[in-house]
Amino acid sequence: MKKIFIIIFLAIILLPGTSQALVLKPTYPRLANYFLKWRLSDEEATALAKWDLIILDMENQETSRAQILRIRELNPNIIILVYITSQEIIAEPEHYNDSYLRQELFGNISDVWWLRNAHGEHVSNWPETRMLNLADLAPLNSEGQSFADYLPEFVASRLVPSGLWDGVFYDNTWGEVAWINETLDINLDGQAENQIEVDRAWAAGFKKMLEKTRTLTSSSFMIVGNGRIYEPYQPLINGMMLENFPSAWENGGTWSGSMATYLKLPKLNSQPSLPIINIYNNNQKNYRLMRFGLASALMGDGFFSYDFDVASHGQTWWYDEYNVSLGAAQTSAVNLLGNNSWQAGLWRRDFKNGIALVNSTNKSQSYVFPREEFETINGQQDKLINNGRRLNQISLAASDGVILWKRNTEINEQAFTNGYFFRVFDDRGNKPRSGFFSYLSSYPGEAEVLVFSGSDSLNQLSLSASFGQFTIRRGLKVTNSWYPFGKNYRGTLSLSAQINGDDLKIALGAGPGGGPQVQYFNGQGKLLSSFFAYDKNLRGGVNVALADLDGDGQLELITGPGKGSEPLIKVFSTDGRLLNNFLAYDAKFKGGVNVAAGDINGDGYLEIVTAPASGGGPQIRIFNDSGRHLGSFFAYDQSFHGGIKVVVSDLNDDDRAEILVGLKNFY
Amino acid sequence: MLKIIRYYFRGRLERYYLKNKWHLLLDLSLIIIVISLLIILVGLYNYYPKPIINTEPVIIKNPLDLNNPPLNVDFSVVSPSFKIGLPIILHLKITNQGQREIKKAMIKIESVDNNFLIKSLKLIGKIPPLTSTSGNVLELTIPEKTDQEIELEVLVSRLSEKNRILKWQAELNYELNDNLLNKKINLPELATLADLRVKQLAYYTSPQGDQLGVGPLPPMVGLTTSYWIFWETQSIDEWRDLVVSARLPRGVELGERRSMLAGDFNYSSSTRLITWKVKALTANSDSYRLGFELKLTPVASQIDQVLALTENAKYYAYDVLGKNEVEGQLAPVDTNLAGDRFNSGQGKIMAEIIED
Repeated sequence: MKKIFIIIFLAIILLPGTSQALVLKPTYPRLANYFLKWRLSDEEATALAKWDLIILDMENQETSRAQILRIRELNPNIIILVYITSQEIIAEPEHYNDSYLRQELFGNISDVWWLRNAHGEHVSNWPETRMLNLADLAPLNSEGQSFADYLPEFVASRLVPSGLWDGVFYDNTWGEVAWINETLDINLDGQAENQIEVDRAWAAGFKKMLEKTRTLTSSSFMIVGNGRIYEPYQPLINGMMLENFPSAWENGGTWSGSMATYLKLPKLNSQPSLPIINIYNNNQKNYRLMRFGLASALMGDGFFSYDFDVASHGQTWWYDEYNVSLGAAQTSAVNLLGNNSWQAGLWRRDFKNGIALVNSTNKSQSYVFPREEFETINGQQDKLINNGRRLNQISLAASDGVILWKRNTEINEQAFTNGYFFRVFDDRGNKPRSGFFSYLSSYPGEAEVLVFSGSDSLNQLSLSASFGQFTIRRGLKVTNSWYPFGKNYRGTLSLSAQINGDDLKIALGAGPGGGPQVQYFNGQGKLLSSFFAYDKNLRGGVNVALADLDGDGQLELITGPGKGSEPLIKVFSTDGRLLNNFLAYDAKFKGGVNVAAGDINGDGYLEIVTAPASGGGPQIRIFNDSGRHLGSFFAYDQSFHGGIKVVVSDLNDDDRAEILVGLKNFY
Repeated sequence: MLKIIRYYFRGRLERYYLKNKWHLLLDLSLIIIVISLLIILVGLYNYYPKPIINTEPVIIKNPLDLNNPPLNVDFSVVSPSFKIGLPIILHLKITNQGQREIKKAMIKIESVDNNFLIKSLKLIGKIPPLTSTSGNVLELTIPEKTDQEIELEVLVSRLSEKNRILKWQAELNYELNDNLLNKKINLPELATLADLRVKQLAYYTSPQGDQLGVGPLPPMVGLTTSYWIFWETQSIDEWRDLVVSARLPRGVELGERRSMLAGDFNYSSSTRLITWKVKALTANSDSYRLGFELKLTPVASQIDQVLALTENAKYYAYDVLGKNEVEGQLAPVDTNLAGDRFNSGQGKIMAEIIED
């Protein structure tokens, strides 16, 4: 026994993973996966890395260590809880494949720890399992221990030291047990105890088990339970799963009751609180049920999981809604039908990038947004709901939910042409958001405009370039302005800039009619370098993009030629040293190439995106930093040859930049 | 004398000719040239050529004063400018002051440079007898001592976009007393009316299929449907002071969103007038476009009606080269969205659907 305590002590002291405070991601939705297979495949590990919180059976510690480490590698911020039943164990673990820890646990169970009835028989709540006695009246083994003592020690000595887990998930965290069997003999005196006494003793013993778990682990080690919520446990743990939401056993068995519980938990739990709403259904394509659960979960700050069945939690089902990054919550949930006490209604919660709506009534509800517009997800699954439409009113079926994007018509951090219409694409040419006119009335039409977000409007830094003049503003005040190519040049300019703290770097190129000269300035207007990217006798101008392509902390200048030159993309150091070049299109194409750069596939590296500036079809092409072609698609009808602009910007706040393709006029 | 000559030549023989035969050859050539010139001089002195022009007196049956021919044509036009594609109305006042009928006089109208082409002439109004046109030629017969007034439609095409001034002339040809008379008359210079195309379009879905508008289609009572209106202008000419304006009908409000490539946008909420002004428009630019969002919220009395989205949409502009003001009405736009290939015809207001 001393050894166990020493191991536990060392585990607490030495394991960094269990001593660091866990910080929840501030954005929604928060996704959980209740994945109880005892062994993980590599594919499952890769898929599970997409969730924010996963619950894995403890046997994976022995069977799938590499896979769990792989999950952490893919998603360093993931929360992984180890699943263990709190009050039962399979009766014959030696007959199960991959049953390593269960056999060990089973082997250490004293015969007096089993829960029995007045006839001395084992009690079972689940097929092929036997219940254990957690009541504080339960007999002790020869070492003076109860199962309520042993279980936390097993967790602390056998699971925590693996370094794989952020916390433990105790299944069946019940506050009562008498409902299992009317003749429970919790002190093994051969007599059934009074049910009230049974429940009291059970709760007291269970609470001690939780307290000991907390004592033997660090305060940052998460403890999450499952089952009907019992309030006295809640300060000891970090949350509860509401399985089969809204479950018949929870707070009256209604949506209102379950929601009241779900929203109450964060106030009761130890922090951080990890309440989880789980819905299961044997139909993976029951999108409506999934939406209902997800939207309900989004009314609070918890996690959502959707899987197959109470007896088969082990799916990696992924839904269109899971791809949405709603951003941080901005409001509490409100009932649009008027009653705010968690009665059935049409509930709404606002996030930075969108809203969640849930209709918990038993009939369809319509709602008109008086001064707002939203757009539905442009998904691949339930196209009746997630069809990318913009709307200012909605009809939501009974027991349904929906996630809506807020309308976004602003491009930040990257230069755009003021007044152009932009279509929004992902790296595969899908349109995740609807197109929009990007226009700021404080700048001239067709000016190149770059607005840096993050400041209040009075101090917002913005850059603009039009009629040959480049201007820097703070709010509305012009702080610097100059003609980079002389006052005689009053044509268009190509603009790109990057800011790091207060360190502003600006790249400018002349437009059609000008030479292919690139100028590189700091924020004070000091010319840092200037060079011709192409033959200086050409007069098609040059298109520029400024980005740290290779991730070395140094910016590179990417250039596309203006009209009249072969489509040779060049990558320069900021002092004009040529680093790389490649043809973006067929060498015969001489319409000029617009360029942009950004991480469009979320791999942590920037890609170069090109678009024909004039002539040629509207084909977007994507290259890595060394010029390898990664993909292409047509942004508009192939017959259109009017030229397009390209901007790469993370509109969706999901760390994957979108490709925005600008069109001057409809054709 | 002969001795002197002989002495002279002997001297030259000894000093030059015996040393180099080219001296002899040169002297002989000079002598031949001098003799030839003398012969020509004598010949011209004795030359008496025959007169080329018959100076014998000619008997003129009907004397014709070439300084004052009998046929006089005056040309005039109604307007100092014209629009390509529409005919120029050209007035001719023809006077035959002579004593004889002038038959088959031909008047050919032509451009004096390569910037324009006179395509056709067409007689309009009262057509005098024996008067006809073919191509750019007018043929007419005028009795003696008469006046005729002819009105022509002249169709002109423009061959060069750079020059908008029509410099043209009429070439008059007729025969009188066995004399062919020809006269070229410059016609009044005309400026082509600048080509200005101003369009008003309404979309719920863009021609490329992007959703611009929001809300129910057809529009429903009590619910807001938004549309996008576009004003576009294109020209091969230079303009200034373009003003496009329209009033918003009852129930239509200006939305928050718009997009403008050039000019200034203004909306007066008191007059409900939207105005778009562009100070100067360069030729052949596609940068003159305004788009703005309108929101329509129909009321019950408008059920089954197709509603106008703008009223009295009109434009004004000044033609820089033609020094001409132009103004006109824009094609009206309504909820039927005639230009929206995805949603046209869905303009009749519907009653609101009441759900159970």
